[in-house]
Amino acid sequence: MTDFERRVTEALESGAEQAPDATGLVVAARRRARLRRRVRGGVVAGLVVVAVAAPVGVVALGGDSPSDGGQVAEDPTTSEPSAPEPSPFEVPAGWQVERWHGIQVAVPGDWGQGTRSSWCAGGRADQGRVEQPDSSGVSIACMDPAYSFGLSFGSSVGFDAAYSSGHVWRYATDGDPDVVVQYVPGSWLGFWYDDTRLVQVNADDRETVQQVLDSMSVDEPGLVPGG
Amino acid sequence: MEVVVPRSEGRAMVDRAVGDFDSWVAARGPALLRLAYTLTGNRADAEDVVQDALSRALPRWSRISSVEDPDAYVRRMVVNAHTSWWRKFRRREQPVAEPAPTGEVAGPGGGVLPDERRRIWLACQTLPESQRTAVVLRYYEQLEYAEIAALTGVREGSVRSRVSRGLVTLRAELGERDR
Repeated sequence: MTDFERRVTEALESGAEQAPDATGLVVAARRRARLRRRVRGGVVAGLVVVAVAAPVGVVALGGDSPSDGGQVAEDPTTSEPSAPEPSPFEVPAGWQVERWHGIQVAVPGDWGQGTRSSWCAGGRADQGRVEQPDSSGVSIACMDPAYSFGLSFGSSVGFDAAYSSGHVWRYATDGDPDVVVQYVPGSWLGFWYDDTRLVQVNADDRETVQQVLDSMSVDEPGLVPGG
Repeated sequence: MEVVVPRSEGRAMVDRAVGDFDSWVAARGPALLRLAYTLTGNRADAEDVVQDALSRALPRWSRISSVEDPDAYVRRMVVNAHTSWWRKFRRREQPVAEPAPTGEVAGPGGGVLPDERRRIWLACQTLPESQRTAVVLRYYEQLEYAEIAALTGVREGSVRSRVSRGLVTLRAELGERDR
């Protein structure tokens, strides 16, 4: 560390001492969390939607799930949906069924198996893949984008979602060259998650992502992936 | 009288508190507020950012407390909340304050005086948001470039570039030449 860097550190540490104290922080955070639940839950008593209000990007720490470090472009026609209700399982013609820890979901029939982060090892980013935490594949961290189209199962532990479960939105980086391109720019993303399980879908068009999420059949909670 | 807690003991105290949200906030809240304050340069904004992050952490605290490093997780939420807040309000990257036009005064032993620290602090606040975040995470949080890259979702090379450009700007603001 140079002398100037040391002085910057000292200045920041010195300035940080003027930060507000933490008195009342817990109370304020709890109040804001209650308010957020009310806003999300509307007027339906007892309905609690675990959601994140601010579009801060999707962050996954310590898990296998792809994270969305880029910016997101909201679809203006989309309202905030709640998590998809368990529905009679239907498999569209030409689609295939994938299962993982009590989840059944239909995906396009041409989606293969494998790690979505290794698409560049002999594949294309627009080729859909279905990835489970124990999916075998070449250990390559591809770039531009980091993940191919497809569906990933994983643990929701450590998953900080920007949107409520079931939301579908369009991915964009706003052309910022500094942002790591996680998905194919302009493609569509959708998530479903509960306390333990996470499903992420990424495809070229909104209809495919929505259809995948709509096809999901979910068992009661209780299965803990990897737990 | 100031009570000094050994770093390892302090860490253990925090570890015990992780399982309980209120206790964890009591232990780690001040550090989060200091981080937020260095990022925002504004006390009200710092409180807003931290409250926002904690209110989102609370509903899933049982899961967050089970991850390997809850501190890093919530710190990431604070940085994300700051970035989101910045974009939300479309605050453009304009200087918010002019560095105080004061002369440099050598301190005892060659150390910096509060006057110079204040000038550097103000100069930091004039940095573009992306550079300021990188500089704060690097020199206040003392994170490695790779850690900053992972935390902010920006390429490591870009993080290095942002930090470097930030330092160049700071030196220029302070009337110093690269050494």
